[in-house]
Amino acid sequence: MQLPAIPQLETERLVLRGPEAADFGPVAAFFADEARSWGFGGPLDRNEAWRWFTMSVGHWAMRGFGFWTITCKQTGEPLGITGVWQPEGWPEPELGWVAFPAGEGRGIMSEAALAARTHAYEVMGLPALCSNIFPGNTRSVALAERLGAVFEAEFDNPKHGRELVYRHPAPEAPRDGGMEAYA
Amino acid sequence: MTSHLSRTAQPDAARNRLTENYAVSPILLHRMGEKDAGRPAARTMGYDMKDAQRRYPRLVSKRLMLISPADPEFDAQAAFLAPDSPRFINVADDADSLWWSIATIIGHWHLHGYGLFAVVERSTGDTVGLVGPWFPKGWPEPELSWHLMETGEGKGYASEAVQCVLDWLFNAAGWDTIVSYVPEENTASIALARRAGAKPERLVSFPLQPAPGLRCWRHSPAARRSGLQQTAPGLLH
Repeated sequence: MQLPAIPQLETERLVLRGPEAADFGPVAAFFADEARSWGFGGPLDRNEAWRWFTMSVGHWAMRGFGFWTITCKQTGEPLGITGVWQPEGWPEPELGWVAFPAGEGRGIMSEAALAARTHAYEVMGLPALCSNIFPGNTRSVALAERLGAVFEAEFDNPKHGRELVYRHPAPEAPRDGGMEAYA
Repeated sequence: MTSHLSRTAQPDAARNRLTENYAVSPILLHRMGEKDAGRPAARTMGYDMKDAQRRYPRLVSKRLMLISPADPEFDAQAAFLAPDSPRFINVADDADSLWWSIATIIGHWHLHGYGLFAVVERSTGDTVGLVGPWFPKGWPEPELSWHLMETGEGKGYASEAVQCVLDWLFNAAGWDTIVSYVPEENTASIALARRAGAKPERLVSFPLQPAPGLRCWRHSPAARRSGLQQTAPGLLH
């Protein structure tokens, strides 16, 4: 089970590429920061974070999709991760995102997540996507809503406990938060 | 259970070549009375020299083939995670956790370039365990780790696979040493470590260690050679 040829996605300001070993630094820093990572299964110490990062690489091999590293098109700096996530125990593929400090603001995360969602719909052919968000994670809810997702239900995640399921607009639906709006 | 190796991706010619190259393992050579246990020419017959640049090496011993779960021709889902996959011995993982572990093992290969091999029984194509070097963050140094599945129990497969990996590590991959962290009460694994020529060192404690009360057992090329020479014929499989 090798890694698939991970597609590289480009937006106006960003390049989404497959994970590389050097991405572990910012991923570990993210997980070490409880204020940032509590909504993403954190905090994790460096050793636990390495397990997660390694699993996320294997996720690409197991599922054929996973988290891209979001990088600045101009500088290559990692700004966060986003992608489609469905380890065992997840009932359906989820659109997820994490902003590193350098990726906050300026609409970077919505630009990246939208590119990932567009790829998931148009290239992977997924019929639907959700984003599962911890209650109280207002920044993530704001991003989900900016992407046109709406609250659908509560869900008991086997790893994380109670989550809020936000449903993204289906591929066929008119895209109020579509690519055109953010290009 | 049928073979976990994808036959569609592997033409017959390639399969036959693989079998030929792996037909005589270094372990078998020792058993046949090979005097110079350390002779590289003899030791290198257990892996495919024509494919030295292969990203994921395959090792073969008398009864086993060791293949990376990250190898494109290996179906980890079918081998480890299908509803009828045999269970690992002494592992309490639920299905979700096992999936995460297998994904982590595959990610380890991609990040380190080595990792746990899937151990495949050549006669059946069944996967019977995982054996290989393991070095997650927090480990003091790389560990030679082994995990058998129920289908591999009681046949000496763990020992055979460990010997095969040690031959590869010390002769092809150029490693000088590797340790195994073995719980003090695990007499079967201690016996296996001794049989492989490992020497006991200190008790260790480190983050995320798999069990309490671990002792470090050190494998080294010299210890291994002397250990092998002391082994009575027939003990090696």
